[in-house]
Amino acid sequence: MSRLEDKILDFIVSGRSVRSEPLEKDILNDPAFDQDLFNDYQKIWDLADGLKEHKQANLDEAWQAIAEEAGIAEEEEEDEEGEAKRVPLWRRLSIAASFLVLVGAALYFFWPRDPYIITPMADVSSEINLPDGSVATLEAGSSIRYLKDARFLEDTARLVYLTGEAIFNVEYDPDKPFRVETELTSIDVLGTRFRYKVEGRYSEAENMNGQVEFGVKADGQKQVMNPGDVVKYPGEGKIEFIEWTPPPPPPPTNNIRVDDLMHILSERFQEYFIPATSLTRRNQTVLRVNLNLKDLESILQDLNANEDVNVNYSLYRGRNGYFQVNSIEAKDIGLMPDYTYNDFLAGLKYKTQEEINNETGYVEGKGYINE
Amino acid sequence: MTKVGLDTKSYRKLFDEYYNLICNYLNSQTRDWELSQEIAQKTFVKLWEKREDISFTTSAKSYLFQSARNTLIDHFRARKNFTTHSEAYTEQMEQVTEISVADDGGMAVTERISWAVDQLKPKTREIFLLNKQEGLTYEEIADYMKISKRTVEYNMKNALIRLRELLKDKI
Repeated sequence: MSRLEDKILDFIVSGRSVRSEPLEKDILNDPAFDQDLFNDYQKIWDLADGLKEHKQANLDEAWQAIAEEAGIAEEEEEDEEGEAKRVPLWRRLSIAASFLVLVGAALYFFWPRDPYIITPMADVSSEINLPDGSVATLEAGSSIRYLKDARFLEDTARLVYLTGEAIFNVEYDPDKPFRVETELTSIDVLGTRFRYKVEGRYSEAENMNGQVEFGVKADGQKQVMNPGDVVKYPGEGKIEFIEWTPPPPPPPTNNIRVDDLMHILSERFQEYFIPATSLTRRNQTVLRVNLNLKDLESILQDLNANEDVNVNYSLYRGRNGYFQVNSIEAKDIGLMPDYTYNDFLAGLKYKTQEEINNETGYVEGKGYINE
Repeated sequence: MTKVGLDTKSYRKLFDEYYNLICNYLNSQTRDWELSQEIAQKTFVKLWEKREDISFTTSAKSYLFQSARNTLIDHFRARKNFTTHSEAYTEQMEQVTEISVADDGGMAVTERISWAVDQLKPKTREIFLLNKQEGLTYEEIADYMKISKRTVEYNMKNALIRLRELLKDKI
């Protein structure tokens, strides 16, 4: 980049524009000044302002929805059948053609075809809907393999092979266990939610809900896992089992943190919150709330109606019809873990830190006291 | 006027090229991203259903914009039958019909800019979008990302240089 180009870029990224002020003389008078270059940069700079309004749809999800709705896969098959019907009669009646048809039919029925669906390695985290309604959320660079539609359901167990890392949300079916296999290990469940990761010979699993059984194929080791439990298997030797222990209670506070309040609101009104647009800057949290269905202000007023909570807030309407929350404060008498907006609506009060400690058996400085 | 007769491959190509654009066009009318995606999907399903008889009088893009607009108007009409908010309905209908379908309002260009921004290095992209999309000042970005204002400016300049390379002859 030349010194002049650097100056041009300085001028543009400083937010100045030739429409509002003239170019500096030392830029203009430079014999190497290139008006086209300057115009290119200025044009891109101006056009990029359009990004404020621009959104990006999830094309994979949209395509899947459209293909399902339009029955595109079925149409393709019908097209192939249609082509066959248009073959002239004399030709189909000829011995040679009949022979070919027979061979083709034989190949169709007896040629060993891959009965599996293998998902491509995703660049980003992606969701796969399995034929039984279970969902696998694959981490980037991961893949699963499973039997195609009917075969997946007809088998005695619902079997999925994993490479990489995924979270499985399994539909409950007592008659058909759900089994995830990796090269060396496996997990058996009926219906639950768990994370499973494999890297080379190393396997790791974390159970999130229900009960699962982790197993090592080679030596038959088994480990039953309850929610929160983690197992690690290095590829040989014993399974390392890490039993879940309840986390310490939250630190005493006289204020609800903005994050906690956002959590309460987003639990109850998740459809109105646009993900990943909450941003903390200069000690203020800015979040965007879609106003098409519900007014954030009325939600916050609801919160204020509870005597234990006092929410001070200031709002202003954003250019896209969203509210931007500039600042928000809320006072209570100690935040109860897992307190949700539904609890609030049900009239449940926040609990004090002391009450929480009494219930959980937690003693300051000593941790949890078991009976 | 000849029939186009779309096959799956060319249909998918149209989808890849125009789906997001149509969504943004609809969003500019409705300010409702979910609804916009729903209408865009209906538009593409309709296109597939009519694939054998379809004729593009101007271009596929114009056809899709026109079809999306009609689908949106149909949606508002259908909704009128289930709602008593006739004033809101009238207002929405007026907004839609005012739109010139032939002109996509520069959204195709913004789509290309968005594509080019996606090609930037992650840090440069984040800084560029915080400024251009979120409207943060350089001081605010520096504060938020715990970097100096000079680094922010340096990344903004780098972004412009790279975008110019990527968008050469495309805008």
